[in-house]
Amino acid sequence: MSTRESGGTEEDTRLADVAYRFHGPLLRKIAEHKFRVPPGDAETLVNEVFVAYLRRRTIIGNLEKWLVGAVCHASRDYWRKQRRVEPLPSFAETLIDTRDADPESRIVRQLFVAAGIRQLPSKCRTVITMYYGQGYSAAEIAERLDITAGYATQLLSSCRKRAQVIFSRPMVGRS
Amino acid sequence: MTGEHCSDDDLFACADPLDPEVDLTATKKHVAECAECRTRLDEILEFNSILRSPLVWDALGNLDAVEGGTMPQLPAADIEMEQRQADELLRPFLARLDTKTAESLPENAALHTPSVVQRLCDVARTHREKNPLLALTVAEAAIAIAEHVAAKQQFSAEAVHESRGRAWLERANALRYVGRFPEALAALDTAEASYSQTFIPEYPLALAAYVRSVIFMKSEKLEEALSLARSCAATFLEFGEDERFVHARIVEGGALFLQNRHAEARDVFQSLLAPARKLQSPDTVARVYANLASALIELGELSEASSYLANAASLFEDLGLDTERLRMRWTMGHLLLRSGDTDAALARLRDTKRDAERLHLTNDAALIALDMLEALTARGDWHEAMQLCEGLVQKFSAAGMNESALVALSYLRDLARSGALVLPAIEHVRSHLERLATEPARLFLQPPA
Repeated sequence: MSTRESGGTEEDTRLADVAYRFHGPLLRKIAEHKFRVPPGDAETLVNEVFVAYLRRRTIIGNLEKWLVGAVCHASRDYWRKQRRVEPLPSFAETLIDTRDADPESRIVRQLFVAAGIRQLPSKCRTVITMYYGQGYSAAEIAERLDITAGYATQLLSSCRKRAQVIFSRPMVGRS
Repeated sequence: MTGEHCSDDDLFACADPLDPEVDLTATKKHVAECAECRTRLDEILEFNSILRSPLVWDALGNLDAVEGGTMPQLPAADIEMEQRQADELLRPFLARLDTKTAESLPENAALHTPSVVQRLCDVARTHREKNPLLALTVAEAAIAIAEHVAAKQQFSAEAVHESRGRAWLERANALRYVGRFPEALAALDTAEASYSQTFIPEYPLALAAYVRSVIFMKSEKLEEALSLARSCAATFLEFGEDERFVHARIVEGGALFLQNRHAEARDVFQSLLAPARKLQSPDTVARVYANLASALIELGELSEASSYLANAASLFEDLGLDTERLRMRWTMGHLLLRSGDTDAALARLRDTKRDAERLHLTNDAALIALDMLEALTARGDWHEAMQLCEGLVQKFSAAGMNESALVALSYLRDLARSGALVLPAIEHVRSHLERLATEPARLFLQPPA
């Protein structure tokens, strides 16, 4: 997401909107699922993270990773502030432990994969979902999609490679 | 298999065979013997494991549900427009940027926006290595404009604090590059005070901490440097700032090295080889190689050090960084001295000193000369040592060297003339010259007899 020397306000709004639409749901999921921030507050938090990014983006290297780190920090700060007003929720004690990076990064990766799967062409998304999400074998996929077993295997093979490539590279909207 | 390595098809099949009939013997054998393929297989295994996680499919369902929803009105578009306007307004000034132009910018009321401050700070950052005085002037203009932004009272408190914080951070950076460390530290205090009042302050505070750690390292406040470098490295990791993470750890390794904890320094630099290469930043890779080489030299691992030095020098040459390439050749001189090949070391140091003089790196040339003097004194080459001392004072006096440095070199010359030149005296003068880089007004005091 970058500013442009030419192009009207409408185009810039669209670019900002596209980036927000792509990354916003992921960030909200992290705030809501990982840190149990209430949905309305999570929305506000994500907006503020995005504004902070825009103000700092020339000193930020990686859009996606920064946004994720930022929403994690913002979510923890949210609960620290809440603690001054209400008792701390019982689950928040473990959530606020920033030393244990592994579970958090694994959850983040899982959410990135979910977002990446949405970028796949529909046929790929279907076979990947059936194989990994629903537990069908290649033979069962072939039967359900009315294709040959060889083609199902070939499709699955190419689609999972494609998914892994998407997962490995920066996503749309990177400045 | 394709060429030397397994194809992704083979590795995916190895991780999760779709066809139970396929023969994976050759692939498995290769993976057992090839670290690169094993690493790739591990990546694929992890990816497969994530794909099988219920959270992925749950999140996918939710993302699909949200897609059809309405996004709230973005403040982002307003900020983007402000940033675009800042680019337009600044373009004529930046096309002919010099100190005078930079100083005049705050007078222009149209430029009093947070985005102008941000753009000027970006400009300061790009100039700070090659023209730190210009960078300083631009940063100071950014500070003045940030105060106008605050006075206007039409921007959010967040935008005001962010602008101030950034402008003072860039001022601190520019001051660091010109060696004005006390002022740089004061600027960092102001930057941190502003940034503390922003949303997600941890990130910019880590940027400030990094600059502070570098200054502390150069000022020999090594424990403080070490602590700050470690702390900001951890924060950079949390924000996915891989390159900054590597740079912070380079400072960590440097502080350990200067504390003579050479084995720990080596371990830090070795741990940075893979992440530095992954960045695809030759400059960063070269710096890791160079630092690792220095640690290995101190540990007597000369053959390995030589290899890293050569790689670093080659990278610096490709990047056109003459100063850094010169430093690699200088370090090679040290390596040759440590290996006992004094003739080769002296030849190398002689050439390097000549190049340092050509590049007007007067202080470095003097330090290289001291290395030569040490080598000559150690093997009792008094005549050549004295000739070198005589030449040093003459040459560096003509080059306009710092008076305090000339006094120190004259002291060595006098010792050489009277046949009393000893290694501790050379070390004492070396220490003084190294301190002059950050304390130019430092007086030379002779060591106690």
